[in-house]
Amino acid sequence: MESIHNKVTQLVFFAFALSFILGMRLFALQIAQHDYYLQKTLKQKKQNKNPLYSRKYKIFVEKSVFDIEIIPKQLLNNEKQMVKNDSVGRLANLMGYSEEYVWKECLKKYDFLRKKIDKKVQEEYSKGTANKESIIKEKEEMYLSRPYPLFYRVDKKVVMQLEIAKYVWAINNNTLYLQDFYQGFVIRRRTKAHGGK
Amino acid sequence: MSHSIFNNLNWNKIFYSFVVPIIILLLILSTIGLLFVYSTTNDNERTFDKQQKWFFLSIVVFFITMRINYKWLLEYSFIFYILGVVVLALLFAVDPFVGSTRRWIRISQYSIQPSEFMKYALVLVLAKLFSQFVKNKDKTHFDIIPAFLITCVPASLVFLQPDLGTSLVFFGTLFVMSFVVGIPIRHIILLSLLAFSLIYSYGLKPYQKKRLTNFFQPLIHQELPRHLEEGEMYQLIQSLNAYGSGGWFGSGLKKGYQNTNNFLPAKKTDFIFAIIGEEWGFAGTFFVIVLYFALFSFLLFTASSLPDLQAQLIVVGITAILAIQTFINIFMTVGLAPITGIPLPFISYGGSSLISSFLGIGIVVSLQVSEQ
Repeated sequence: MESIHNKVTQLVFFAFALSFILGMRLFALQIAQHDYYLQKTLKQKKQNKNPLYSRKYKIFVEKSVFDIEIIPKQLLNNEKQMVKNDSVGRLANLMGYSEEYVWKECLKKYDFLRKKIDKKVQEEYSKGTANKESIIKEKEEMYLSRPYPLFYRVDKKVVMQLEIAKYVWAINNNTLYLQDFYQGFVIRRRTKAHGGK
Repeated sequence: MSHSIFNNLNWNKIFYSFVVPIIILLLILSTIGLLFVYSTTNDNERTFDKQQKWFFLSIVVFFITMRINYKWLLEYSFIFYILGVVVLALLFAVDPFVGSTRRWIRISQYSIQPSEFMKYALVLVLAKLFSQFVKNKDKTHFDIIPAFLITCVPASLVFLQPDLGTSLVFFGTLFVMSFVVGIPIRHIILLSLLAFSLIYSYGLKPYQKKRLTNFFQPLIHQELPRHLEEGEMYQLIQSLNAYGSGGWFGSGLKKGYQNTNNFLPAKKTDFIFAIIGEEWGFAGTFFVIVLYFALFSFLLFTASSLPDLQAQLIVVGITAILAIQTFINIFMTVGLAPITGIPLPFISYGGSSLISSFLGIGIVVSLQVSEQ
């Protein structure tokens, strides 16, 4: 009987050792390498189960590639901060990315532009030609109103779906107007000859 | 002497034994299982409803098994064993294909996996054999050869289904029970190596060999060739992505990116622990591992507290089945073991696995609270 007790104790220790190894492995995966795996996960694209086909479209896109570009100004609030609106979620859903990933890319682009604006403002302000407020206003208008590439060489089915669904007729206070369902995002067509990224 | 089928329960024993903590752990694990089957169920599927039904049926099975006299079970253990072997053999004859395997018997809209129940029949037979082995004063280590052969028959049939994971559970249970009755560990390791080399050389299909060799591929921060990334190692890579994206507390139930976008194959069954990792994070996986460890410890302490050797061996065998399945399943999903199809007890989707696990615990409780 004694030997059984000893063996059972050894088995409990063995189970503990295996649990400990698992705990360490999970800590390494889920905590230490969390950022690496999160990036890898969010970069994955959903499978498009309902592709749209158009003969005309296919001929057209043979010669071109498309980028999705962001117009930062359209995503700014009154305090000039980027605010996530429904368009980000719609775009993420359409492209098969997570909303967090698309938003992160938007913020990255905005941060890059904001640094550029700050640099330019500093340069002009040091020359002493105008007051700082007007320089900031001018540079923000110049840099934030333009479209900037966000996603390169976007899948052609996504382009077509976005083009179809971008503007939708809506009624507000008995007024018929075109609602922009992808506010802040536009498509740019490039010819393959000009390359790009 | 013939034994009666039902035993008399000593209700006082319930409160002075490990029965209550075992049942609590069982219910917590099953509830987690139900939650994650719900989380992995799409709107147009009925898997969650089915799993709920299996859960309630399992509870009924648990209460019935709790009343069954283990002496009666041991008396008829060879009949259960032979019945199990016949059913496993019949799977090849009646050809009830599900996918490309022969693991299930279809009854109406439900499928039953006989190998899940065969494990417990094997434990009963081995407990009987090993208890005779311990009592035999002129024993040699060659006396365990019948036990090895008895394990080989169902394990080979299951291996041919093909279900490598479950056949490993059969051998694992044999080795744990051999260890407990005093077979030296070096003999067990030697026998395991011999069995593994024979199986690897002659038994494994090319895709199974690839799983083993791919296991040695470096995974962390290494770009793998495209054919591995998108082909043979896709499942493991997606599993690691699911764990890794979980962080401390995960994304929340039904909010995992891997889960909602169906990147991870077999997310309801063999890889459900990866979904727990994604949606409950490290806190969740750690909690579940602690629950499993506590359950196995209580089961083993139960074995230790029983007066009868046969009863002790039955409990050790049942614990071995559950623990081997759990550790193989979790180790494979975190990339520490090759991928074999094996469900996580109490949590994975599947009626046979859930009912048989409850049946096993029911036998343990029966041994603990019976008057004998």
